Amino acid sequence: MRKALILLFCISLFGYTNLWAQEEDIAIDTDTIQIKKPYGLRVGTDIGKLARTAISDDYHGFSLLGDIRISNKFYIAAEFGNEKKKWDKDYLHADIEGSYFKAGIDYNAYNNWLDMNNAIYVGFRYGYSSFKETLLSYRVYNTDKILPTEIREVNETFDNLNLHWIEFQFGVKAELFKNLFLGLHVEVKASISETQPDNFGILYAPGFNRTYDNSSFGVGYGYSLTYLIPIFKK
Amino acid sequence: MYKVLKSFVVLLFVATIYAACTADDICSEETQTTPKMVISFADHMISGVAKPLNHLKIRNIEYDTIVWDAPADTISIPLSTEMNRSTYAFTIVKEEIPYTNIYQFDYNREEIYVSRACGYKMRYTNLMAEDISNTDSIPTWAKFITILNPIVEDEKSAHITILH
Repeated sequence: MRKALILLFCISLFGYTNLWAQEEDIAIDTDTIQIKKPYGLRVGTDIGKLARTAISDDYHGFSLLGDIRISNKFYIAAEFGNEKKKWDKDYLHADIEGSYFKAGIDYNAYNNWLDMNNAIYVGFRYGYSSFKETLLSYRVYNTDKILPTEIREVNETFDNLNLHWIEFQFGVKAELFKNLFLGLHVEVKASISETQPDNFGILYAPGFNRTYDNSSFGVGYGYSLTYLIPIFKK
Repeated sequence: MYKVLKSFVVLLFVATIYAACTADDICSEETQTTPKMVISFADHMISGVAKPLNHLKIRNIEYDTIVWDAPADTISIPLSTEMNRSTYAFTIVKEEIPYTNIYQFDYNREEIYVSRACGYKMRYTNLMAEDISNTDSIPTWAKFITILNPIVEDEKSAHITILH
């Protein structure tokens, strides 16, 4: 997953510089024809989550996402989703399940040529995740292997957990067909507050992804497929 | 705006690399996980004087396993993570005659969450030691056993001292 993420980053950077060059070329263009841009509501889903649900036994996720254009460059964006994740490591086995909501603003930095509606954007989000963790089993970590240590089957549920975070996104969106958009983006996030389960930790939070022991940062990515419902042109 | 955007992208890139390279799924050796019980040896005549042993053999009775077979200055041996009692036979050999003390250690166990990589560790409290040597059949070598610290949660200093 991490390798894929880095690769994705490189690809998007590559795409970014290419498009950048294109954009500089048109800067000298002094055309005076006014192109009207479509404004409306764009709704869709994260097809990356659907693919992971289909491929992996450890993951189940679905999300609804969308944005509304509020000016030439700015969009109000939101995402709502549900995720289930199985945490299976040598010393800990747990199930995590819950929902999340993210809302914020996207800034499109790409100057579209004529009637193109593509985007290279940066976004800011506030995120909230509400979930539960079930500790299935664990083995007490012991560097001494002389005396045996058995696996504890506990099946203990930690309810009403939540995590708030802020998130930055960087991504591209391309109009594949009329009003149908494919986007890919990466997310870097920082947890700002979280419930601490008693004698356990937050391993994963829906929407936030896995946490890290020594930092409050998180990373993620998404492939969005959205449809634009045009409302007016400006 | 583009300058801001450019530096923002670089920042995102660096942050992602950083996150991807943080290998916290492996429990670090520096992390204190389940501790062993640390034992020191001292002279029973002159208080506070360390008295190491040339050779010591320690056998766990419950699992019938040798946990130590070497010279002993300050040593550490495991406590069971499964039972509230670990019994050990401490044997030294003097002029080809074995001397054995059997100590029974009783304690309470607490399982404490450490991290995603290390999972849970054991913490032992109320550590007590009792000499249950069979003095009729086998000669003993140690005189007293003293609890220095009844809470075993790290291996920084001795929990037990054996005077001989």
